[in-house]
Amino acid sequence: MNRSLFFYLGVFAALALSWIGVVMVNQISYGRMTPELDSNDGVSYPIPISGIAEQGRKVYRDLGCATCHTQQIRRPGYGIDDKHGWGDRQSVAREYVNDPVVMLGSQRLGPDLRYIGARKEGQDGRDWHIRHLYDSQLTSPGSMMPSYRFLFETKKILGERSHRAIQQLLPPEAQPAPGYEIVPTDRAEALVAYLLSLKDTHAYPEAANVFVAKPASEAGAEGGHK
Amino acid sequence: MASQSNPSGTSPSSDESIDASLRAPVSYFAASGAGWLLVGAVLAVISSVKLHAPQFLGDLECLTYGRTTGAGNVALLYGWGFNAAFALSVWLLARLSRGSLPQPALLMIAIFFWNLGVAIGTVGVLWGDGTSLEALELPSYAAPILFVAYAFIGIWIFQVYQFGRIKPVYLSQWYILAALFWFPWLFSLAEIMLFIDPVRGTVQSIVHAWYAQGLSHLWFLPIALGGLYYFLPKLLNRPINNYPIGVYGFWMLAVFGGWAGLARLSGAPVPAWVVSAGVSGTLMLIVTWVVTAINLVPTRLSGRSSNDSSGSLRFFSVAILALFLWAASTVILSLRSVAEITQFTLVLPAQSQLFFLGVFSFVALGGLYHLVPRILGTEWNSRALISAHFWLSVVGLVIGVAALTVGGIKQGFQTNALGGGQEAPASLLSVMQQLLPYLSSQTLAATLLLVGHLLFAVNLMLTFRKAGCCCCCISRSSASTGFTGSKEAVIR
Repeated sequence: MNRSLFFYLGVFAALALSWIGVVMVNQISYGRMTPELDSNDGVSYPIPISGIAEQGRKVYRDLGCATCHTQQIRRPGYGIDDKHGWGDRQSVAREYVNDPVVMLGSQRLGPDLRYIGARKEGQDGRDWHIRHLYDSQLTSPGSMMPSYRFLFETKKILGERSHRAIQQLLPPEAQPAPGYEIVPTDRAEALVAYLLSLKDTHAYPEAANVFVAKPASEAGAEGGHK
Repeated sequence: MASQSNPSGTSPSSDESIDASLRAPVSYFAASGAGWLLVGAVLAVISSVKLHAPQFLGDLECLTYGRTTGAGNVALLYGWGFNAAFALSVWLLARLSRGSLPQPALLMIAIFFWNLGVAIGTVGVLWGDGTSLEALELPSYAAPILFVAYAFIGIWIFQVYQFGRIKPVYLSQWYILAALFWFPWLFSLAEIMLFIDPVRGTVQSIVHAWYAQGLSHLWFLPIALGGLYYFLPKLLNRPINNYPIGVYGFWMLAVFGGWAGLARLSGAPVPAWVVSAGVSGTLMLIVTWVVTAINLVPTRLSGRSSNDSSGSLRFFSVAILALFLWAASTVILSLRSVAEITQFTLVLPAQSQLFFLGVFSFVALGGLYHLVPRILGTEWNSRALISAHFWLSVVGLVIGVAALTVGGIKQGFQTNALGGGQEAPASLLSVMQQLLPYLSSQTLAATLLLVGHLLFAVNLMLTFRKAGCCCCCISRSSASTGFTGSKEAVIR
């Protein structure tokens, strides 16, 4: 009996130790991290994203985008994430404090998306995402990203054309029949808004600490965000 | 609580009476496990095809790549993996502890609910409620069903051991009891900290890494090791080589198993010590690998199979080989300089396939091939089908793991490092184009596995039929417990 008691206590203690050491220590040390007020511009970073972008995060999650896309940039010098133009500083923990679900991802069959909104901005960025989601071959020939055409609807034009119609972005063979138009669904709009919102390139002080000194020849080169 | 109906309460149980009490639930576990294995294998083929032919089934939202991958994982891990693990653990504990199962009918209801939870989870992911967290893709609404079903199943399996007369003396019992105890903790803490009252920021990623690691190292691995420590000596009629040191392997796994997974967060936005702790944990586990190697390898090599009528032994041999390949790969890939290259590449799915399909599934299949004839009281319908299943699985496993590993290493060097004098990395598109042959090979591998598992399922069904199982095994077991039968209890 004593022997069994020793066994159960040991088994319990072993798991408890890993839970306390791995999970609780981190929860206590930075689980309550807050946004950081930048005294230069009086803004708290990370900036909360809009409601529609927050909806888009759910679309990102339900379609399983994180299966192929990471949202984490490693520090310059560890891997070459900066050379890909995916981000020129490493992602820091504070950036994620507003994210209700953190999807760092573990697979890069496609590029990292943590700062995709800084690379594809504004109306051009929106158009690019629409074309890319409708058919990835339009923007990235040879891509293995599937088409998300089910996020778009072909509708009969009733009265005036919808201002959201997107067929002008598509090639001739994808045009709808006369009298019809292709309109992104709310989910597509939300997803695009979310992708456009991923642009937190604020220079967090803690990111500066871990910058690796670059050789002089590279010092001026701006890695990403084009 | 059900001690009156336990036939083993007063007199030692014979193998036959133990097996009789297990007949219905273990058949149910085996049948549902085989069914989920097929569902998972079909989804794995679909996912794999989509990687080199993205338009395949592309217009169906529920079959988009991100969802089929997640749903396939749910079906394989929670459907096949858990059902097989339950079958193995209840049978092994009953045999080792000399206890029989009280009230098998109640266990059947719990199994039904477990399968219901997995079905809801799988469909939920396809429907768009997945969590996008690897190994925990299940929608959070499926989790309570699984948890309650698990609680019943776990308690029932534990009762077999409680009612038995031999307390934890065998390493197999240690591994299985510990796993049965660890899983509900891992699962409930992860669910609470990720979905019910989510922690903030990247602490979520740490909780997830801890859970994903725990699922492999503290659930599937101990069940597999428990199986190997039982079946090898049994089939070879030899004691485990240097048995006493096995205890150290067990405790090292218990203490460091939960830490090792953090190594996968290398370079992630988490405190740097977390990754160091993960690497240290992975290195400490070398003790476990050395101990199990000393225990298992000479045992396997020294004996000749004596009572292996189903040909289970070859499954265990492959599992042992896969175990040490996988263990070596966890150590190598945890090192920061290696992770820098292999992170985010196909090497990771290769590694998890090697573990789940190579180590765990081979032990589970070998175990089922051994125990199903014993609980049914009849031999397998076809030995040829077992051989075909074995060879298809081996070839599928080797092709899949090799293709993903080689492709992944290539991908890693091209996307995560600059060659000599190279200014900018190759574009991701061109790298992916070069991976197409490897991805097609993975489809071939997944198809071979699917065909193999189909043969397994067919053979299992034919064997049930041969044993006249569908109705009579439940009536046989209910006769001994006074259970009058219910729709849930009928074997599907």
